[in-house]
Amino acid sequence: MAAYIIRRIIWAAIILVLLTVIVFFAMRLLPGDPLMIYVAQSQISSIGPEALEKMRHDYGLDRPIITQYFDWAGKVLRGDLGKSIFYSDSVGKLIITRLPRTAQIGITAFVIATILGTLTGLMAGLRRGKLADQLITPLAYIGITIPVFWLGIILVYVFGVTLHWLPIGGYVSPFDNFWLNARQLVMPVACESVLGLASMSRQMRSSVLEVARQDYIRTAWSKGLGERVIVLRHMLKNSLIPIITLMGFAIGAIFGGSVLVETVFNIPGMGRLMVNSIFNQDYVVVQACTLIFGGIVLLVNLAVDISYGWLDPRIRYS
Amino acid sequence: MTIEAKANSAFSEAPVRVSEWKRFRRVFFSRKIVIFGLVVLLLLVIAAIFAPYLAPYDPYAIDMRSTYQSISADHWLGTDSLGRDTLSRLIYGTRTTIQVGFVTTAFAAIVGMLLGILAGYFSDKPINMIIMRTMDLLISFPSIILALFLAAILGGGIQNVIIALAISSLPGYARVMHGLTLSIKENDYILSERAMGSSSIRTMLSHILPNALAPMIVLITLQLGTLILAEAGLSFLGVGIKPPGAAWGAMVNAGYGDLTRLPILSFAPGIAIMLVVFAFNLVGDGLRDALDPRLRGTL
Repeated sequence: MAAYIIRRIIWAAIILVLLTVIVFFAMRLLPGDPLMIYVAQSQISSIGPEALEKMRHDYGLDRPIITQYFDWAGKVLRGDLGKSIFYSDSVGKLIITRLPRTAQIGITAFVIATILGTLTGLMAGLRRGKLADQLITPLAYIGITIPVFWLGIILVYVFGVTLHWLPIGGYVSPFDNFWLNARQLVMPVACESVLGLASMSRQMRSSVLEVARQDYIRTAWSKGLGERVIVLRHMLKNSLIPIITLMGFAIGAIFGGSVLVETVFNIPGMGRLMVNSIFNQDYVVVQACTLIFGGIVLLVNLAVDISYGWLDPRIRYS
Repeated sequence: MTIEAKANSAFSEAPVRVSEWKRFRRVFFSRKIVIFGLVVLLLLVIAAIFAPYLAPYDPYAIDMRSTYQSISADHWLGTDSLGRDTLSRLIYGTRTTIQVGFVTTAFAAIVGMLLGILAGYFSDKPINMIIMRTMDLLISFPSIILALFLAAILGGGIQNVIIALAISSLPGYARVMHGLTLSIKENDYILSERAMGSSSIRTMLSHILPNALAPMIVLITLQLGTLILAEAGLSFLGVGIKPPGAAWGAMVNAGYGDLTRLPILSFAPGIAIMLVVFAFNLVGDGLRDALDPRLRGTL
């Protein structure tokens, strides 16, 4: 098991390096020149060819791509993520200010989605056809079908514009104004969690129904175990395998959703940074974001694969 | 009771054998909500094919004299900031939805399932590692960001959105299929099949695939919905079909700016997206119930 984990970690590191290589070269295949985009957008009307060349040299864009990659990788290993062309600021600083915002919303949404998703799915599965199931199942259906950005707009319209209960967007640090932060986060967290919550609930319901007709559950009932023991010891653990897979997906979905949710609620987080940087071809920022997103998701996947074996000893590691 | 009567009663209690197709039809059409989903999808296809005949106005015609019209007999869903008829644009938007949804899913599902079953079946061979680590590489990027990224490299056209979404949804199919294969191949019937000398391809296609099909069909329909959502998300962010082309996500975004003025502009396309995704899920669930191999041959 330990050897398996070590091998997977080495693999994750290799994948991460590959990811940065692909992104590095792909970004340079993009039509257009980041400096020209920057000049055009920042409306510097008079910039001479010499100044442009100097900028190109300053950002290292005049050197061969391979040299640029190793240059960048070497700096990353020393903790320097480079300097953004567009924001003319260090990427490390850009990310340090934005990552906590995205993480606060994302982690809250993830925890809510996992707990509520598992619980509601379990309830609906155990009480199939009863009131709880009749309420949960259609709601979960709506949850997986609703476009998050549109849900955001509806929420803004109802709770922001019409009722004036919640602020319609923006972000304030909880250390500056905790109450405002909490109020600002209600709608974005609701939006980011809804997809994961609904899919986990659905999956949990069908897993529970599936597990409930297995022979070992019938055996458990027939030998007179109580419902609590059967549900907690026999059903829950066996129904959780697909949920663990979904948890991996949910992390990705929440990060992906942050792109849309941060757009709707005008939150300056990682999602917005990523989108703006892709559109502005701000190489250095996109690479750094790739590294961070990729690292997080690889770790989550590793955790998912390891927990399979814990939940289902029939799955062997080689 | 005579032996004969006993035999008869035992016979009448045994499940009645019916043809596969008959059972499928009976189960599939027994739920009204599934029929509702089917009707919505049918309407979607009809709207996409006959858009020019169904749309009351030209979806691209700018009319600055009738901007921001509210709901009326002339414009059932109002008009946007350029005076274009919202209903007509919605109807034309079905084409984008259908095209992206079906083409992407067909490609991603076939390739993804193939990769997953290979990786799962040969779980102790290097091919497993190569496939699954490549999928890890792809999945380590949230699909919408991967699609954004690919669309930025390839350009924003609809073909490139399809390519981007297909690549980003591959790992979903491959990973689920991989997991199912791992679990199914531990079953005794696979072992006995192998012991009888069945070839790998035969075991994969005739024994593992059919047992994985029901969950895969659920995944495919869920993915169809997810893809339509992803396409809407991309067009909401401004990637995909170029203006003045009609895409539902882009319409929601355009309407967001006029939320206080005319909320219907972003509400209507959102409801359309939701309805279609909803319908795909309903039909998918109906299919799952009707295709479940454990119910096969019985009523």
